[in-house]
Amino acid sequence: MFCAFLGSMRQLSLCAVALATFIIPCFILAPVRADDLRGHGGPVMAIALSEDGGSALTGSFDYSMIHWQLSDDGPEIVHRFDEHDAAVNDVVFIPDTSLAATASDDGFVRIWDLESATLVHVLEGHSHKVVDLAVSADGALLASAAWDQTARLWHVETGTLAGVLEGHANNVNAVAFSTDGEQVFTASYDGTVRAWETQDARYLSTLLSFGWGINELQLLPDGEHLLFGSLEGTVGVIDIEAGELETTLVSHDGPVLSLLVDHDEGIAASGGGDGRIYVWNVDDWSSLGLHENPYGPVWAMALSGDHSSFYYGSLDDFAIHWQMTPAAPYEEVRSDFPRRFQVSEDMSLGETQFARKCSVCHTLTPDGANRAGPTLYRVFGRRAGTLPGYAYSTALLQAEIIWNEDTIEQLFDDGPQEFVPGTKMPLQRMTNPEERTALIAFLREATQGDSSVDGDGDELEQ
Amino acid sequence: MARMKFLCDAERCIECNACVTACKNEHEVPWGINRRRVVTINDGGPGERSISVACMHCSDAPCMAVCPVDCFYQTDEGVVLHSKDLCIGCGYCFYACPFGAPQFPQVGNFGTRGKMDKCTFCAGGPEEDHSQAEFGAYGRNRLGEGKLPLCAEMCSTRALLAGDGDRVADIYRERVVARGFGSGAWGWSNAYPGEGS
Repeated sequence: MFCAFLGSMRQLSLCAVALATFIIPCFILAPVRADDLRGHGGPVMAIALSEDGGSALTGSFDYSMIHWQLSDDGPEIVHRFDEHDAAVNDVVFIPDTSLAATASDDGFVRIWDLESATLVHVLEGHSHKVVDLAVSADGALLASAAWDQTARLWHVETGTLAGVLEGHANNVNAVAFSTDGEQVFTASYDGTVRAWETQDARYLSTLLSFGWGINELQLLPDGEHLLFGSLEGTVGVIDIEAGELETTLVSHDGPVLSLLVDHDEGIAASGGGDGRIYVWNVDDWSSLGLHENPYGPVWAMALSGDHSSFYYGSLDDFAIHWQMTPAAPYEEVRSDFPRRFQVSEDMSLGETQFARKCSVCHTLTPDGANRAGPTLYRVFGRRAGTLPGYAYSTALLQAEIIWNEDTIEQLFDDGPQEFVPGTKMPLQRMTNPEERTALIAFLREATQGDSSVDGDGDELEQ
Repeated sequence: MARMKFLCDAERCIECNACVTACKNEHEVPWGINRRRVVTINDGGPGERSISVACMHCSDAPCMAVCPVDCFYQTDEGVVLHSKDLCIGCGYCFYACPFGAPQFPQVGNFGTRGKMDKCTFCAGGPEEDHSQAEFGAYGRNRLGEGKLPLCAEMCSTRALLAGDGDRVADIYRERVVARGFGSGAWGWSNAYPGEGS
């Protein structure tokens, strides 16, 4: 009976399999485990672990990076960096320093000092999403890949541009440095992997013309090969010297979304849109295991300090911690299901609008849950840009808007960018007046604070 | 009601790019966006194949499963469409799609993410059928006019087929029988698992 709530045929088929085997409800009450990295308010798109494994960085759809301290007692949040104006797509530690860098949908790369929890540099130049970062072994140079068809090189210490790698015919999705840092490699939606000279950003050669777009690229421990993952699911190895495809390892049933290469242990792994994670020994490419999460893609992966476990990001608001090799006989899938934006048939029109269009970024409770937008708790009568603790855009801070039925109506009729130019809120309009009115009526009720609706838009038990 | 599907016969595609041009012209797709493209694998070498690729309107569409604002919907004819009013340009669908179909226009202001654009199977969008608003955001609604996607109509070698999935599968099956081999329907089993051919 609960199957009516499911959003896709894939989920229906999963339930069918489950029901055929065991009688279980299709509502999955996700278990909470203390070793997962919980603190974000949106899906985790990037994970990095420090060399000693003692700390971690995660980047999320919620516009933030979180710095974690890892110990036997579990992860602890050291600081949440929320100065980006859009989703954070990648995070890296800068070796031998206290610095880290983030890449964002807002088109900027930012360099942070983790010790003082301060912003050090804002790297401006890209004109589209920045989706991948790589840092040279000596920590002097940072490379960024962006959907403006370029990759850029930056001096970490000064935050200045060191070069622009131009030539790809479409989005650049990934970058990697050679071991000595003298070359940098780029992978693009145009289906090519290219080599460039770091010193003068000069194009050297096209290592691979694969046809299908390349999503991911990592240098392998021998320094002579690259591991790549493509949008149609192929994971393969490129011989850099020969400039050719050496072998293909596996074909995911969907795009390859993340690669993991551990230079100490000689382990490589690929995560895909099919929820599968294949693990190999890079010496002979023998299989070391297969992990599966049937509920979603594997956006990001990182190996723990002792190499016994790994973290990965999917559609959940947290990074999941699983045993690495050998794979545990049974791993819980801690994904909440159905997700908060998946609507049920018994929702009112207004509640449906909230669940689908607002809940991914806003709560209705006093706790904003670190989502991309501020909580809407008691939003009526509140002046825009005044909720303590939320990193508003300058546009909202300067806006003289009081949120009420009229202003919220106008916000969605005109669209956020028209109503408050410069806001961080994504371009989203509601052109149907009936839906706008229903949403506002729902918000009027649900943001009061004493309603029977919780922060995820679910009805609380009486 | 017919279940609409695309099929690209890689044994026939000659990489002429007429489908790409027809689509761009018919829908007045903005600069920098191609809803359809031709991918060539093993270019210049043995086993070279070209494949015309756009949104395949998958039965179990992975883009729908990852969208955080649930902006996709599937019509009674199986066409996967989306609402540009709802789309927040996060790009999750771009990475989830095994065909690389979702496209994102470059927008001027930092922090403002462009709305996703993709093939509509020439079926318009959620706006009123044949309205200026529908054409402006999604392109021509040829399906609503009783026509099939122009890319396939324009294909001179009939490599690209579009229409009732059963009929399309039958045509391909006849070709395979006639030529004695058939591995050309790239992406069909991925887009429509367990649905024949």
